[in-house]
Amino acid sequence: MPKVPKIITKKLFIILSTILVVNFSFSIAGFAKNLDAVFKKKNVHPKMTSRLEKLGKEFKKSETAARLFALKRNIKIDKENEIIVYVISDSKVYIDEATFESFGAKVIKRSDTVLKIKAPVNMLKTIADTIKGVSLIKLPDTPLPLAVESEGVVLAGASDYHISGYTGSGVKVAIIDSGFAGLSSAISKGELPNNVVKVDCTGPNCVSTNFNFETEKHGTAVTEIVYDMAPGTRLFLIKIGDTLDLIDAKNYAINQGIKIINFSLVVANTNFYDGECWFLNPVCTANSAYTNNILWVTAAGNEANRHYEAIFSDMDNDGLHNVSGSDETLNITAAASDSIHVYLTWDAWPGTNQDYDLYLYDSSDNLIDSSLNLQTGTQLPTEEIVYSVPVDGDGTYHLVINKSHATTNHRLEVYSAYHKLTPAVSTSSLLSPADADGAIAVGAIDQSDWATGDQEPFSSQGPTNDGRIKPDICGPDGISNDVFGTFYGTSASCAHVAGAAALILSRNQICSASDLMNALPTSAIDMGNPGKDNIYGYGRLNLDIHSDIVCSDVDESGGGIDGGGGGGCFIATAAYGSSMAPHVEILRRVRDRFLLNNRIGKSFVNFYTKYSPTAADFIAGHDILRMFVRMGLFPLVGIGWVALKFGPVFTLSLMLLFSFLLICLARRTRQLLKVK
Amino acid sequence: MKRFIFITAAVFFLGCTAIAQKDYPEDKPPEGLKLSSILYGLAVDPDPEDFANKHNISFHKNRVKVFIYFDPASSEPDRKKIIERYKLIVEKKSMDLLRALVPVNVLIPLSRESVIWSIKLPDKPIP
Repeated sequence: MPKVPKIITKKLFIILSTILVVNFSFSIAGFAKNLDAVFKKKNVHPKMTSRLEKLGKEFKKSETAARLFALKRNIKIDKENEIIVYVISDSKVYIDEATFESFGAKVIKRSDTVLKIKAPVNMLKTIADTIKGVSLIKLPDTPLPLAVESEGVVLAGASDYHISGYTGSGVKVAIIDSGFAGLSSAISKGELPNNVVKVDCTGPNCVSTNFNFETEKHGTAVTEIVYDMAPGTRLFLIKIGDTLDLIDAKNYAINQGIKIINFSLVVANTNFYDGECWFLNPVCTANSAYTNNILWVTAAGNEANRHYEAIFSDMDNDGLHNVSGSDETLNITAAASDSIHVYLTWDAWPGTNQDYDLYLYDSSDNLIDSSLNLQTGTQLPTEEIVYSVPVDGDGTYHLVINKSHATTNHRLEVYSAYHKLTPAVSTSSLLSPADADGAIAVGAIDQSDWATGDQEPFSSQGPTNDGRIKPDICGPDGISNDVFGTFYGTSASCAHVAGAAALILSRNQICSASDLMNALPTSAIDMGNPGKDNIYGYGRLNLDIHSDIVCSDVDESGGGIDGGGGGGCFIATAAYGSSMAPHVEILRRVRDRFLLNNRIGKSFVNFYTKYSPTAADFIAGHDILRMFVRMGLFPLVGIGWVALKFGPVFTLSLMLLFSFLLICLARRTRQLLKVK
Repeated sequence: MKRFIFITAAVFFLGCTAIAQKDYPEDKPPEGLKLSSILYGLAVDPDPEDFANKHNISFHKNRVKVFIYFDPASSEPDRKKIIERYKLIVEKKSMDLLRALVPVNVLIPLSRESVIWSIKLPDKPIP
């Protein structure tokens, strides 16, 4: 057997010692953060479920820690720090109810060997340890309500993403809407998670709220779909009342690091539906969000049957617009107590002296309302009528457009918010901000016609009034929804696309808003005329788990992932078994804070994201390998923890110091070996 | 028979001209008022609360919630003076746009102020 040269042995010894010291040093840091979960099983209480045992431990630290722990796990603790649990008793032992009373607990009901008791959190372990006959203490078994899931989840391919582990984890999505009634009910039924962030921007500022006095359910229904599509996302529910609130909501989203906004609302009469940003209108707001790296997903609108447009024409010279031949009326059929809400604008933005007026007549041709805004130079070219139909007012109402003072014939746009117009013009029926360059506008296809079309007859169509093709994509509607039963409209379609964007972002964390805006159409299945068209856009939403998501844009705002998940840390997630493990969270935070804010770091993350999933899959299937990877990751986690806690300068200094000490140690060892 | 044709023709003629006979009032807000006509209607209505209810206008304690567009060239002190003079309750503002609760009885004089471009109801989103 050949002899190993002495110098090689020495070097090997030095290298091994170095690795050992580095591992040991940073493992200590790791342990300091209570990171090691390998041997936890040994400490599990034999008569308590681990959740309850952990709750007790948290309570020992502090009441706040226990409440936080409970909140995250949907465990209810009352004001007196008491909790309802099941005590499973040994069948041979009868436990007297008075026994529990001596521990401050009260038996609520009992059946055979199961007792339902209310006990102080801090006495659970004592009860388990002391009372003879107690086999197990656990949380009550509660029936799970059958959650209603949108059919769109499967149709759009989101379920494949879920199976592959992409649920939107770590991505923050805002649903900006006009109301969130029924939220508590949706949460209790499991339709929505209980960690949704609730914000009201209708006052002077955006403030935290509980939405207890809401009447409008639209936002809740929309949120339900986003959650069905991307159950791992952090949801921010933001209520607005008007376009100024919308600016506040957008600013709030920017400040919170939100990466996707779902806006299933439309606004009329704030431009000529040509993507122009005037006077802080929703186009300005959506474009501003986009420049701040937020993907703005917006409903195209349900106005294809509620829209009329034409160039003013007055064949009989009576000053009134001839809608069709000699007919000078646009007709609306309304029921008692309806609100008729109609808008007129013309191509004379932003300020004009070209004056048109709008009149509303009832079925007996009585003038019942009018909008006669003065246009003398600075005023907007808009008219708007809001009329509440009286209880005996069922019937057909007529709109008439009068040219009060205009030097040319302008192009007119009329929208009715809640009623069909006769005649209607479905072409170019997009409202704002669906016309914005910075928004991805979503049309609707009934889920039962998903593969074949047609588009919903009410779904707004392009082009915009400056000739751009819209909508951009179509999502499913007519889907099952806990709030509405069946949810029709581009609001529902929009929410599917927003959820899909969250899934893509969770899969490829460095995607910018621009990347997402490209990725969604790229994977869409073309419908209608080949290529992008004014009915289907690029086609129907299609999340293909097998297709590559190309994120070429540099995300200047520092990545698309927030601080709440493990998205993208594939190897660490495989090694630790969960993306929510504290080790993974530390690594992810290190990535977000130190890698995604520079080009070299981003390139590394890109490379890692591309190639690590294969390795992660292999690691996840081998327990011993997972253990070794965990050991190997300890120093990295330790360094990461130190860097996050004390900053990069301190960490670098510490590493230099360690290196210096190691070099000294190595030299000293070498000298000793030479002496020997 | 002739009489019948005559009556039928007369009825038909009257029916055709019904639209033309409609009344098209020109009661626009007076020149110089930069107020939307619905707000002008509210300001001159003897029962503004009833008017507001019929037109789905946010109306509380004789105040109406409106958007006020300031002349971009106007100075901040001038805007402040207007806000104080008319006792406007400012809810929020962004650049030249202000959302305020305005007493109904000052809508007309307020809209005559030179620093104001226009006053209208807030732009509300449609679900």
